[in-house]
Amino acid sequence: MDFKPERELESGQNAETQPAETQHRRDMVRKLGRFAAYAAPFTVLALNSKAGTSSGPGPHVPRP
Amino acid sequence: MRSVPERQLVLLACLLVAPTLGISNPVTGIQVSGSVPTTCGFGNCTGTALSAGALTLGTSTTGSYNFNETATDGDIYKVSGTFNNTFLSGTFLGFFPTVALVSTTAAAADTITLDMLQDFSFGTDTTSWAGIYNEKLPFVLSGAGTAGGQVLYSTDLDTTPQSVGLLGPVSGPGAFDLVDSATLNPLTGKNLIGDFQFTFTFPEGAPGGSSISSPIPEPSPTILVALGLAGLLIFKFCRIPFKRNSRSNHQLQ
Repeated sequence: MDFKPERELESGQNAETQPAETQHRRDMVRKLGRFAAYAAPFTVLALNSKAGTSSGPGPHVPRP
Repeated sequence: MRSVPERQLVLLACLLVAPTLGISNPVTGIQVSGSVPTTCGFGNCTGTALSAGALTLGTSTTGSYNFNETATDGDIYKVSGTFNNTFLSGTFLGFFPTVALVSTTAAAADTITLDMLQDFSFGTDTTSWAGIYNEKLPFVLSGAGTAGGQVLYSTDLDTTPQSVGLLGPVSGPGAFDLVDSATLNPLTGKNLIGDFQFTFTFPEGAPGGSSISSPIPEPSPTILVALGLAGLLIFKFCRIPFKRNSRSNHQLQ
């Protein structure tokens, strides 16, 4: 009779599910990163909107 | 691949070489005056140092400060807060100080003036910094007293400071949000010199702990709602694949 110990079965299952989970985690990190990149400028703007701030146009060099 | 000591040596060399290449840390100064002796409470307030440490295009600087000042009448005030100055495409100054009375009671009325000094540098003397400048000055006063402020700009060539607008004084207690804008010109020169000025007054007999501040930025309700929605979306994205995994696990069993 072909009998496998319980531990071996569990490790076999993990081996099958691990790549999918790793891929899923990678996707999640990618999605979170993209979200953070989009959200960052708005967060900075919103945070600064209630505080003592001053903004200017920046430099411009006149045409010769 | 370099070993750890080699990498540390390279880093040290870079740090030593950086100043000679003109790569230096930005310099910001916070000057205190009024009823207290005029002092530089934070950073460096000399024109030479500020000019040498001016923000260049694409750079920014942030910092925090916490120091005590003693008025001529003996009253002690604590000045604390943060600043956030950037030079990405336009110029940006963020100044968030709080002045609090440390003494038990104010022996006499006191005026505390804070000037955050920050230079910006770009191009040559022909550079123009003219245009529309904005200022937002929110104040929170815990008790009686007044608060006002303005932001002044000048350049190394156009040396007379021009105000975006003198706002206030407003009287406490209460919270106020003052806004102004102005077109400043000619502002020609290599360096733009920014001076973010607040003037706070504390009346005689003000109780210890009285404070006047330009609030530190806090997440607004809009941000909290946005974060909540984002959290829900992430939760939704997370759940679906895990469900699939749990199903497949059940099938395996």
